[in-house]
Parts: sequence; C-alpha cells; structure tokens
Amino acid sequence: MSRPVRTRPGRGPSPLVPLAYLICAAAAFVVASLGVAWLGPELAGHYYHPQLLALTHTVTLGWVTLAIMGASYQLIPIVLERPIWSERLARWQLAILAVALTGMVAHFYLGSWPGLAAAAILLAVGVVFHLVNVGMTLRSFTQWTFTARLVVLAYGGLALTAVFGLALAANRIWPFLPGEFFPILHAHVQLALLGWVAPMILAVAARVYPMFFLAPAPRRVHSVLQLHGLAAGVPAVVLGLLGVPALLVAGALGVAAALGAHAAWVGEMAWRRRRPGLDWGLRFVLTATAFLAPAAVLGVAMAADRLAGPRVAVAYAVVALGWISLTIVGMMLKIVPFLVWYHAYSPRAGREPVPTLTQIAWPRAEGLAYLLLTGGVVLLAATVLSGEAAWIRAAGAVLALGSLAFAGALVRVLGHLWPSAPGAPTWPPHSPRLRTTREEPGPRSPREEPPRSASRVLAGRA
Amino acid sequence: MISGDITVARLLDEHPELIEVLARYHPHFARLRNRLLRRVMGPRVTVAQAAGMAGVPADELLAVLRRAVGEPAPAPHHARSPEGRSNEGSDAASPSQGEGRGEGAPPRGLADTPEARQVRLDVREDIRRGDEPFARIMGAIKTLAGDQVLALRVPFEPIPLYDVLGKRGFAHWTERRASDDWTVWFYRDTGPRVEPTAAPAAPARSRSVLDVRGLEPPQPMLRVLQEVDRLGPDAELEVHHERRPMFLYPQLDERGFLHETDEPEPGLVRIRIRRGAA
Repeated sequence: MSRPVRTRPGRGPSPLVPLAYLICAAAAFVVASLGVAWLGPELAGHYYHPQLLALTHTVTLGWVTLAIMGASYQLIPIVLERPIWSERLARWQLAILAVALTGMVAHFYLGSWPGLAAAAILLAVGVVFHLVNVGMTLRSFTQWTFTARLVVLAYGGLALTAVFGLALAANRIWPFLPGEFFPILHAHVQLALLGWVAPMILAVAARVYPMFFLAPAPRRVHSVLQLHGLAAGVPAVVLGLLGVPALLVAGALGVAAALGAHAAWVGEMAWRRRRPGLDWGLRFVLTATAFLAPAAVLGVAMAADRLAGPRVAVAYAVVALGWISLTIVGMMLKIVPFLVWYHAYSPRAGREPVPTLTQIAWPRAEGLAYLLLTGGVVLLAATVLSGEAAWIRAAGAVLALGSLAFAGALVRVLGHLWPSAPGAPTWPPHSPRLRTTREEPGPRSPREEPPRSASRVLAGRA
Repeated sequence: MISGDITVARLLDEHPELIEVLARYHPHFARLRNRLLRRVMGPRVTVAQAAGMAGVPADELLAVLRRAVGEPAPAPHHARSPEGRSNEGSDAASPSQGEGRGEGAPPRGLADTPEARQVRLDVREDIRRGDEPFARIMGAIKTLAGDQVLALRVPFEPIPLYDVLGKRGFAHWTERRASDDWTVWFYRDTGPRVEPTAAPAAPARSRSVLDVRGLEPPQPMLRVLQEVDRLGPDAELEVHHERRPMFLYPQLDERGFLHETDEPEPGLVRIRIRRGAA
C-alpha cells in the first residue's frame, strides 16, 4: 500500500491560473443575470430566439464552463494528486476561450451565422486545448476512483457537446444535418447539462464536499448509482432525442437516479457532518442540491411526454441551471478565498501571523447574495412558467442584484492579492501603512482622514 | 436550587435564559451560544467544572447564576486555592488518574517519553471556530501506539476530558502557557515504553508527529508550516493527513525542506519532513 512520492520543486499548482478563469466566469455571471432582466419579454416567448441563445451561451459557456475549467485547474491537483501538465497551455486556452465566447455571444445576439461559425471553431480550439491538457495530466494515471471515472465521463460529454455545437453552427451556413433540427438542438443541450456539467459537479463534490463539511465520502451505493446512472442515462437520453424514443424515458430515469443518489448523499453528509456551523458557501451548496428534485421531476415528465412546451422547457433549464449556478457560487466562495490566501499569505504562513479564510471573506455580502440568488432562481422558474414578461424581468432584477453582491464579495477577497493597492484590505490589520495614516500627530483636516476603505478595515478587524 | 454538581445541560434545560447570563459573565461561556457545542459539552460538564475551565471561582459563578434566577446566593465558605480556584471546583474536576500542573517537573511516565513519541494535536482553532473537537481528539487517541503520548493544545483546561480519558487508562499532565493556551499530555502510566537502547541504531533523528486529519483547508497547511519552522536540523516531522497536500509541497520545497509521502493504510497519508542540507 505504501507509495512513496516526491514532488519536484516548482511543480506546485499556480493559484493565478484558476483565479483568472474564475474571475472571467464571475464577470460572465453578472452579465448573464443582467441579461435575464433585460430579456424578460423574450424569455416569455419561445426559447429559440437569437438573443436568448446569446444569453444561454453566456451562462453555459461564460459562467458554467469557464468556472468548471478554472476550478478543475485548482482541483485536479487535489483530486487526482498530480500537477497540471501545462499551465502555459491553460493560459492560452483562457485567452482563446474569452475571445471565442465574446464572438459567439455577440454573433448570436446579432443573428450573424458566419461570424458565429468562426467563433465556434475558435471555441472548439480552446476546448481541445483543455482536453489535451487534462489528457496529458491523466497520462499513466492508474487510480481509477469514482471521481476520476466521472471526470473522464464529463470530458467525453464536453467533447461531444462541442461537436454537436459545431455541427449546429455549420448547419446554419451549409445545411447538412439529417432529420429535424430541434431534436439535435435538445441533444446538444442535454449533453452540455447532463453529459458535461453534471458528472463534473458530482465528481468534484465527492472529493471536495467531505473536505469542507468534515463528513464521510459517498458510500458505495451512492457512488455506483451516480456513476452508472449518468454513464448509462446520458447516452440513452441523447439517443432517445435523436431517434430512438424508447430510450428516452429509461435514460431520464437513469439520470434522475444518479442525481437522486447525489442528493441523498449530500443530505446524509450534511446530517453526519462534524462541522457544526455552515458558512455561506456551504449553505449555497446545500440549497442548490434541493433544486435537483424539481429539475429531475420536470426532466422525467418531459421525457415521458407528461409535460411539454417551451415554457416548461425554459423552467426546466432555469431549475437545472439553478442547481449548477448555486453550486458553483458556493464552491467559488470556498475556492477563491483559498486561492487568494495561498497566493498572498502561504509564503508567510508559519513565519508570521496570517489571516484565516474567514477573515479575508465578506460574509455580509455572501449572505445577501445567498438570499437574492436563491430567491431569484425560484422566482425566475415560477415567472417563466407564468409567461409574464414584467414578472420575469423583476425576477431577473433580483438575480442581477444577487450576482452583484456575489461579485462584491469576490472583489473584496481579491483585494488581498494586491495589498499595496490604494484602499486594499491589509494584513496584519495594524500595518505600517495604516498606522502611519492613523498616528500622524497634530490636527488634521478632513482630507487627511484615512481613506474610507482603510477605516472600514480597521473597524472590521478591531 | 442551582448547585456546583449539576450539569450545564440540565442547568440550561431548566433555565435557558442563563445562556446569555453566562455569555455576558465571562467570554469563555459565549461558546454556549453554539447549539452543537452546548449539546456536546453540556451533559459532560458540571457547573463547578465549567467555572474551573473558565478560571473563575465556582462560588462566584454560582452566586451569579442563582441571582439571575432569583435563588439565594451561596455563602462564601469555600477556601481558595493559590490559583484562585475554589475547592468545590477542584474537587469536581479531579481526574481518576494522575494529575499534575506544569509548575513542577513532569511525572516520570511522561518525562521518559522522547519527543519523537509525542503526537501533537492543536484544537484551539477548531474551538474558536465553534467546531466540536471531541471526534478529532478521540481519533488521535485511537491511533496512539502503546508508547506514544498525546500532547493536546486547547484554549481552556479540558477538565471533562480528564475523566473520559482517565476511564481509558490515560493519565494526564497539564501546562498552562496563557489563560487561553493550555497543553495537556495524555499518557499511559503503565504502558510499554521505548527505552533509549531500543531505538533503531540508524541515524538518531528525533521525530514528532502532527495529525491534521479532520481540519478544513488551509488549516492543515498552516499547522504544518508553523511546525516545520521550529524543526531542528536533526528533527523530523511526521504529518498524518487525509490526502496528499499538493499545495503544501511547493511551500516545503521553497523553504528547503525534504519530504516523502506514503500511504501506510487506507485513509492515512503520511508525510515525513526534515530540513534539507544547508
């Protein structure tokens, strides 16, 4: 059982690469939530609308995919216990994806298909970069745990999602796809949600949630159901949509079983956790898991033709993306402070006092984001079902405010990366810079008072 | 009538309003606002023990509690120990096994234990965060070899733990470094010992063990970096972890430490760290 391992100096994971992805993802999240409020009337109609496609890709690519890719560059070293193959490739990948994503969203919005196809090709290059990087990292990997298998499944799903997306983009210019258009579009959507994002969340959760909740890893029954439910269910759903209808319901039930097992494990873990208090990140994660139930019910009902229509489809997407988004927000509230702490304070750790993660976070903004985002997702799902544009817009406004609170919490944490920046939070709290400002002798004019942010920091740390 | 020997759980069941009275009386009792800590510690700690843990006289605490619920205050008849602790509190806290305070020499059973056989566990941060440290402590006790000693660092004197571990055959010796910094050594008084002659002939390297399992990131990294900073040239730190600490390795490399990782059993990752050649 003994496997001695030595790491080479300089092969440690860089926190700046995942941070760059996560910052871009958070920016896309803010843009997307503002877009929901902006596109209320469009969301009340049919989902196949150029501006809604732009919004959807801002969420799925800009927010969800960039966040997962960024998190994977931090978590792969932890989950798979090996460093990333090439951080340089990861940096190039982000640049390509950012350009491609901006191009795609803009061309979707304008309804310009040739430009969209070019952006889609560029996006595929970025995805290939990521797959190469992960593939080379996994080279000679032998410990095929539950998590590792789900990660591989997810990357298979990502590759297929990109292929379907490219085919759909090319088909707009040179029609070549056989059969009807919408089943292929639905297969593309389900591949993205269930084939790429869901297995990745389940994989990472299995390793990361126990670490944060101080709780046991999934039991074998949960692991088997999650892995086999997705491995069998997602291809069945896709084939069912593409022309083998008999597989659709069975596939949907398989996926529902996998997600149900995940939810059951999360519930059990929350119950048996050794950590008494929950921070906002973990509250986000637990609340997000509750959204799996309505998502699974709507998904199975649509597969069984019990429910149909564009409004139900959009409500399903909202609830499913609610689970995904709230989970990502929760994980980012854990990951980003850790990465910032690691970059800013780990070289000083053990040699001098350094802050804890709680001390660099902003719980008030996180709590506000929790209320607004969870409430916003529920409101949005309800209002798209009602089809009332004004209410959809109101729900979008709640979401937008929540995303701004979330972004504010992140900005506060990120300020610790540049401690010398004006107004940045500092550590230790009584740093020479602030002390000099406070202890200046003699009378001071109001202009000489410490900057507001510095005063706030001092007051907060007192 | 509130007395020193009723448990905190019973006291708060009968008078829930006393949580705030206690919290205001002494910062140590503010932890009782945490429901889980109340549930875990409440049934195990008597009022007199609680007074001892907070370092306040038991009769004074009893007077405050009785006044708050409208009962007559106790007569101040308790003699005080040199530490200002009432005899009632001390009696209630008496462990079943040997006891000592850090003012004199450690007992022989403990003094004979080399540094390498001491497993260090620091739960101060857990308690400050409101986390329940009992499972970590018992986990460390379970993995303790016959000749090993647990050096537990806590923010208050863990009086109820003396009884719990005393029943398992552990004696203790306590050192108070500050009002919120205590170290308690739990050791088997009659257990087998590693004699100096029994030590391996090969390089005499003192080894200490640090168990960081059950801690949320980045606490394990922080604790290890704090420990390695104090590592002597011939000393080795053995870290017990739940996973390979991929973010710790670069920090060790940059600070010039050599390290080796293995997995002697499922769920235990062992990292041995020592200073590299200058």
